[in-house]
Amino acid sequence: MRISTGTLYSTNITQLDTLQSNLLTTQQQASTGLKIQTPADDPAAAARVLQVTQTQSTNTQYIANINSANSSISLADGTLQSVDNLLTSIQSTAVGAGNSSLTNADRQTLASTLQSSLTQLISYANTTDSNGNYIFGGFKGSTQPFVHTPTGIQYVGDNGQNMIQVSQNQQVATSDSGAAIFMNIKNGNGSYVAGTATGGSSTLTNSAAAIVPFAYSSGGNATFTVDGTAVTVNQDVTVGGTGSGPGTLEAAIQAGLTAAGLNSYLVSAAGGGGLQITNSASKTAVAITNVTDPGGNIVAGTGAPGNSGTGNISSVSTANPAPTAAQLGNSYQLTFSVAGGVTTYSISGADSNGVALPAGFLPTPSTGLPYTSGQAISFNGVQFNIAGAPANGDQFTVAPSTNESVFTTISNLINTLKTKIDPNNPASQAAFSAGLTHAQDGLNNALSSVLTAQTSLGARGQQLDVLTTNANNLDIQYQTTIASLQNVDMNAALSNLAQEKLMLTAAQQSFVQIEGLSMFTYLR
Amino acid sequence: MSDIFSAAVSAMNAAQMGLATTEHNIANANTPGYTRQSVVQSATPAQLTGSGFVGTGVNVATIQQAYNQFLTTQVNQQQTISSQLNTQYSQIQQIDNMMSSSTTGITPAVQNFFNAVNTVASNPNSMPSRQTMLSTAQSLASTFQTLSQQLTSIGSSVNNEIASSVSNINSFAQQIATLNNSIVSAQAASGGQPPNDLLDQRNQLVAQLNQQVNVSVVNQGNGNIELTMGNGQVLVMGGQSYNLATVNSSTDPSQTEVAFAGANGKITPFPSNSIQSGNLGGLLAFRSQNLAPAENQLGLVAAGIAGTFNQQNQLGQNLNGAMPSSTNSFFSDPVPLVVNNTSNTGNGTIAATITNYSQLTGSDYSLTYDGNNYTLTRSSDNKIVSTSSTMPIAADGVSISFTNGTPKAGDSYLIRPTANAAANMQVAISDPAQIAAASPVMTNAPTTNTGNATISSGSVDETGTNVLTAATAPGPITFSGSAANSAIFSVDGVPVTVNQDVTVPGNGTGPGTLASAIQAGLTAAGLSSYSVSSVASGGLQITHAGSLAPVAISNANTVATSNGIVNGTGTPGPVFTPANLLPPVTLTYASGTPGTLTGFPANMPVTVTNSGIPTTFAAGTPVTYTDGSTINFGGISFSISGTPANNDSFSISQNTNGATDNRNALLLAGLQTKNTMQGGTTNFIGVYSELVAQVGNQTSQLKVTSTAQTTTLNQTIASQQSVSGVNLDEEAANLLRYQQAYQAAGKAMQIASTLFDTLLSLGK
Repeated sequence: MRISTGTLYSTNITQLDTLQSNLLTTQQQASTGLKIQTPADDPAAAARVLQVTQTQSTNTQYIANINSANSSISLADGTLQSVDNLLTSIQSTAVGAGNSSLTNADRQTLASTLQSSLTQLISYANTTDSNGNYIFGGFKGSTQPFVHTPTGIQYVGDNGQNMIQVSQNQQVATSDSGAAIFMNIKNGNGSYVAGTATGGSSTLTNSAAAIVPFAYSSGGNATFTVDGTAVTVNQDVTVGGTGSGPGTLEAAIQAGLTAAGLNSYLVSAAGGGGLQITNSASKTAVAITNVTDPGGNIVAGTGAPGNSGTGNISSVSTANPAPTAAQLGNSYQLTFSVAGGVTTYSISGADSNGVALPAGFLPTPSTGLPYTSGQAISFNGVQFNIAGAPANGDQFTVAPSTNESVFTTISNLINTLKTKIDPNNPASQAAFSAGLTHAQDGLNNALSSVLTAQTSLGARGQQLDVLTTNANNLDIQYQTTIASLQNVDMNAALSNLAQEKLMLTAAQQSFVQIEGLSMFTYLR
Repeated sequence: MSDIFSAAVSAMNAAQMGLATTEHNIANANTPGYTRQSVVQSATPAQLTGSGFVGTGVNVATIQQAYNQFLTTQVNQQQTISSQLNTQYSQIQQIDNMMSSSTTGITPAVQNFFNAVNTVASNPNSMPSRQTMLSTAQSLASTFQTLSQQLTSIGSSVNNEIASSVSNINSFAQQIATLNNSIVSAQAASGGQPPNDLLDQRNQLVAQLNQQVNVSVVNQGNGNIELTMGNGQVLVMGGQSYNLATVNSSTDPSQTEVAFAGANGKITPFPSNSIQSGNLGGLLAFRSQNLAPAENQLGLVAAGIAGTFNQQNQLGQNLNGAMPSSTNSFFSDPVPLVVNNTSNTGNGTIAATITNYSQLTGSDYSLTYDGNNYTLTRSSDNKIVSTSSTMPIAADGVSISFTNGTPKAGDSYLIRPTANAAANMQVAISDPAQIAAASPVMTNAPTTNTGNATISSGSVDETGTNVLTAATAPGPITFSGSAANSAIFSVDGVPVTVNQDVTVPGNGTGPGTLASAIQAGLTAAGLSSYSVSSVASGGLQITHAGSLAPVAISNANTVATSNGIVNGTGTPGPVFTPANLLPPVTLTYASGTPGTLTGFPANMPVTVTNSGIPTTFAAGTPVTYTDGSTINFGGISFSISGTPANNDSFSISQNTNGATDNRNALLLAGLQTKNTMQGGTTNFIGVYSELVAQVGNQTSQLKVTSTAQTTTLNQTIASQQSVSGVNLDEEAANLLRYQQAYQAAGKAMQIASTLFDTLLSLGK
């Protein structure tokens, strides 16, 4: 074919351009190490790199989250370990307190030791993290969760549990609500708790009805007389949001009693609902008279006196067969009668709605049962024994377990230790023993609650360790994937570079050769 | 004697002309568009003598161009395609380069933002963490803005290039018209001899014009050529040229369009896609095929992040204890761009809102009105997505309504749901406390409970929209039709066929119930987020998870109707408001067979979902307790698990003082990898990587085609040049040839002179 001289040049220029451009691309690949300079070089790989990069950096974020979770968990675990140690020491104090050689003064000393332990325990429960947030306060991290109230330590946090994302599909709890660890501890054996009509004498303030919130205006205070002393309950201190003050009816009445100087009188929840007043300093029945209560909450009456014998009920254990689901909510009462030197007892009971159990739901017979000190009593799936010599009319209860906070347990133990044992009054020794038994059960339950929380923390810690290893492995995997998608094969790149350089040189040299071929050279 | 002289002179003249032409060829060897010329010699008529015809010399008939019409047309045609591809390729390379950076692009900005959200989830009440989240959100927004501005400036430079291309075309057309005149008159003056260099000039202008836009050449025979564009528009006729102009598009005034400028000053825009080649075609193709989709897709990522994040943020509670209102968004809410066609005759103005971010497509839409019906067409595939005689009209997660005025038949509107989203992305809050990291719901199981049941933290969700299918159930339903006789009805416009073979016990061959038969029908129709459940009062309902809009049942056939399926639109799902929990809701458990929960708000139905099967209890009725099931009322869901004791209570209340509550922050952080986009199939980066892949593929495709086209063009040019181009060696040979011819003629002259001298000497 005829070649025009212009074509000769332009073809060479095009060819040199192409070779140079290829050389530049290869050089860029070799110098950056990346085979994808722009998405056009490999669209599918470029898109994939973006997604894998996101997955990789999300994975890196999970590792940061795991570290954050680990520090929260180890703070909680460390704090609970201190609580654990403290409770163990309180437990040994409680065991030691049972030593019959101790005097009232010795027990008083133990009580003040325990008082400072209680303060220590509260400060553990109110531990804050590096940001100043309370670690056992649930979602109310900026509010102190455990506060002193007239009725003891109350939890004002919530049930919230913070989670943190530790992998694509997994969240791990980084906090535990203080309510679960310190407050919601079932007393007794978890199903049932034994009770003795001991501490002084008690009377019902509010019969079996549910506690009614104050509904009246702040104008009308409730007034009544307790054992001859006038008590005024400020209506402003109310339940559940009505009125301006915090707290419950229980707290309001307690405040009224304290204001009236009745320091040994305590308000507490009665078994069948409602409230009761107990005089911890006396065993006689508490009398409530002259009631003026616009809300109709408080009723007049005289309560039952406390036990006067030396009978002592053991902890309740689960019998074989265990209580059926229907039996679990039942509460039972054992009433002793001593006639002609023979001690017998009768069993009565009520279901979870407070309705008395009919005969078929109680052991048969349920009255006039002969009493033998220390012999196991077993019915409806519960088993316990009563030792000592109950007096006529003494009562013992076996009721469904309720939640008793570790603070209440320790406060009760302190009160038990503070109460003087009268050597001439066998009942006071019995009351002491009952209190001590109850406290030891309570401390065991509290320890197991703390241990459960620690076990859960430990399990989460282990899960986090596994996740960290996984995340680190994944990170390497993602790096490899990204590298294989976008990194250049250096051997190939360098070899290509050499080849393209050679080609360019050849093209340049051959062009110079051809360009020199002109007939005009020979025209002289 | 004189014969010899005259023959020698003619030979010398011819050789001189040959030398001049060769010299001309050498001189123009590098002139663009130059066509090699050569002299055409012929022998002059011979003289008749007794001994026959004696030659009288040579005559130069004409100077001829080595011009091949076919090859030149070929070059022009290949050139125009090559220009189009090269232009489109060089334009898209700008976008391709924008997407190349892995350190300054969208990906790291999204990652930094969500890392900050994660940090807030770890430290919900830490002000520095919240401030960092706001700052990273701002830099995310500005990354989107920057990318969007780059695309916008590419768009405006395309507008400028269209304008300059049009002015080039006009200038070429004028020059060609002028040359037409010159060539006609030169030809006339020379008695038909071709004015070669003028022809070359004109051909070169035609070639340059073809680089801008494809024109076809019609030779009119008198030396004139007529030029027409691909769409039939005449550019040059004889000495007259016609001008093109640029106007702003009537559907989108931000775009420059090419128009024909009539003699009366009337400007008529060319229909879109009528210019498909040349530089101009490349620019227009780039704008519609590459730039606009890239803008929309980038906007889709931005709208998705902003909208989805806002929705989740509004379900939470900020550090001040309040739920963000719908006007107090985290990002400013994305608003679709709406353009009224400037040639509309009605005065209706429309507004569009995004109702469902997961349904957004990234396409543009056009809304047309024919006097009776509104038709909404998706531009990406030219598919009619919705037709309606009334407004609002909705499709693909966008709802369009009139804000003012009324349209007239023939009016149209352009709706670009995501085009502006990246440019307008902004962080709308400045107070870090406004970030809704907490959940507005708090649950509690009081210490006085004696059972071991626990209640989950509870959450506010946007799901739970339901509608009755069989409003009041006609008792147990049995299919009575044969297998061929299926129940057919539409759910939210999608036809659902319920197979008669899957029936209630005892009827038909399949197992299951009417509920499972309908569920199977829904699944087969692709409505996987719809579920069938029974209503406590009897009958069935269809619930659409993930949407608050009421479910609509329509077009039920007779088989469906006889089975109790009724047409109708249900009620929207419950929307949580904090007022739902004033006073706090306290649920009380009553043991029994089965155990029940009471205390739900008297006006709210309760849905209990167990193992994925929802059951709805009418407002005010006791709710059966099932261990571990999810309970939903008033837009709140939670679960209770374990064994509650008689009279145990559970409270659901507003979250107060929840400073370290991170529940909503966790959900916000989870949005990064949650498949919230494109019908729940991908996440934000997934959509962005689709954009990158799309741009990459388009660029790489254009690179291949434009390289191939350049090669084809070069080969065609080489062929054309092999005919028309100047070869210097050839010209050197010609020089020698004509030099020798001249020398030979001179020698002949010398011989003639010698002969003459001989004659003269004879007379001495």
